[in-house]
Amino acid sequence: MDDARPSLPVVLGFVVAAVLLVGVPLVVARVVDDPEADVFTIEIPDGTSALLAAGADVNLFPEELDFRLRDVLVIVNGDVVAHQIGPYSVDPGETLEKTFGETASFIGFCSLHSGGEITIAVADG
Amino acid sequence: MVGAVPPQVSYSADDKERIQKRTVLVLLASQGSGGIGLVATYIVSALLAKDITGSATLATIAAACLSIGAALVSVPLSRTMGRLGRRAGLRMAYLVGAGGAGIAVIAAIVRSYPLLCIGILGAGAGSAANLATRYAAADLAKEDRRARTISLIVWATTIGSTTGSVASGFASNFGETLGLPDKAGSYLFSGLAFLVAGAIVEFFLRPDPLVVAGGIGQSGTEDEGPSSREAIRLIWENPAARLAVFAMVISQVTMVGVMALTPIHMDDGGQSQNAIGMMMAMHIWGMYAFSPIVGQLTDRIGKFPMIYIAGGLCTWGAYWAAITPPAGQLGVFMGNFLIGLGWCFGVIAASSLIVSLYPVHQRVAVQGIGDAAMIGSGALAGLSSGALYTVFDYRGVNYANAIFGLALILATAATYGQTRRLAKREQPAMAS
Repeated sequence: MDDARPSLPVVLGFVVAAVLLVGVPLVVARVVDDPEADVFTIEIPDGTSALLAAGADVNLFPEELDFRLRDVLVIVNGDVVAHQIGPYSVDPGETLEKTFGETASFIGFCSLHSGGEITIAVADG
Repeated sequence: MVGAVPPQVSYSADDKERIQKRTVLVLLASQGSGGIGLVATYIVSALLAKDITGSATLATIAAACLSIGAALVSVPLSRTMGRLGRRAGLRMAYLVGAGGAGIAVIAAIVRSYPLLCIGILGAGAGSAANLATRYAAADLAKEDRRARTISLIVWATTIGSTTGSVASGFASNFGETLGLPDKAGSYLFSGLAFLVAGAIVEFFLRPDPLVVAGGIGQSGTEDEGPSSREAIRLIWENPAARLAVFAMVISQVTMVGVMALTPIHMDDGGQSQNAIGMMMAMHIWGMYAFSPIVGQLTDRIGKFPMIYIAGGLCTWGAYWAAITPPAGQLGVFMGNFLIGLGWCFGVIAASSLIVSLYPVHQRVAVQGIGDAAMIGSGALAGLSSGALYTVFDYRGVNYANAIFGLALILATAATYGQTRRLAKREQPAMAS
């Protein structure tokens, strides 16, 4: 009869499907390592602006920065003036934290390099 | 045996009425659960894809996979239902949907975009099952209550969607406590919701409404009904059926197009996320909140006038949105609300019309083709909306939507005249 109850194999099928649906991802999550995001920290010490004004090359970090998606850029400005690194401006005494969520590549002004330029690339991976 | 065609049993009118009441209740429950699964997948698909790839374009494609999957499954789903009944078809689609959501969870763990797209395509089967449910509810509905019954199922989606939206965030957080990556929990929740929907159908959709209606099992053999090609021919040869499919396609295309582009348009005008969220809420409100009233009106005043109104609402809404600058609110709010309401009028009236045009053994195949056309065109609209926006901007795309609405008005008027002439011609022939 069509209105009969579902058979035992069908009931078991649903139970097995539910167990697999929950169990397999949990097992895979434990086996697969979640790729750790890299954190790149730039610390701008007090007196940097004075050194730059005197014509010194402070060389705190490379002119080209390469990141992967989900990497984090942290800029700690301990100097007495604001600094600009590409699109990121950090006031004195402030800290900026940027997690990269989109692939991108840009060239912008950098107040910490004598060339006045920085390239930041964010790649998939 | 699972999926076997039951032997023919005769049902009295009272039996059918009792079974119909039970069927609608069961399908409301399964639709609620399926709606939760659908929205929980929809919300995180584009976000997770963007998180994995960093590309907005690839994120849009991943989100569109849900509609593409639903369109691909529509025809096999209708074939299965035509052969084995509503229960077997819906169960299969919900199980595939649950499997797809499971694959998406794995994709989130291993951070694989192709695997994520495969998972979302699979989850689209759950979406196809949700859409097919309205027809299952209509199998045993009386002619004068058919649209009302369909509208109840459409309305149940609202409950599922609202619950799914809220629960998605909680599910993601809960997933993280289990050691899953961000957003994977939402897929897991979606898969379980599809599984529950499938279980509700499997355990409680008994007897099968299509069997009771006489759509299958007439001779105890597995009669598959018309093939897909025959179903397309059946639609093509019937002006009213052509109109019904056209109405569903226009309703879906304008709805998807405007829903995808309006947030970008408002963002260009510097509007806040709250304003964009409010606009989306009004659009979804238009789509679902009034569906029981729309169903009652369809049963009372007829399907053609309702499709005519759907075209009018679509034209009005698209035009209003088109002439609103990016910083404007009233036009985009009301425009999106009216387009959502037009979708509700169009889909309920057209679905009811297509059910009424064919004998029960032909219905399922025709419904499958109609749904494949509707979802497929919606997926195409979603995929192409970004490119169209770049070329024609928001105003241009909405002028096109308004023209689509006008085309629906003209097609309805022409089809109504044609069907009246055909009916008049047939009357004397029958009298002689």
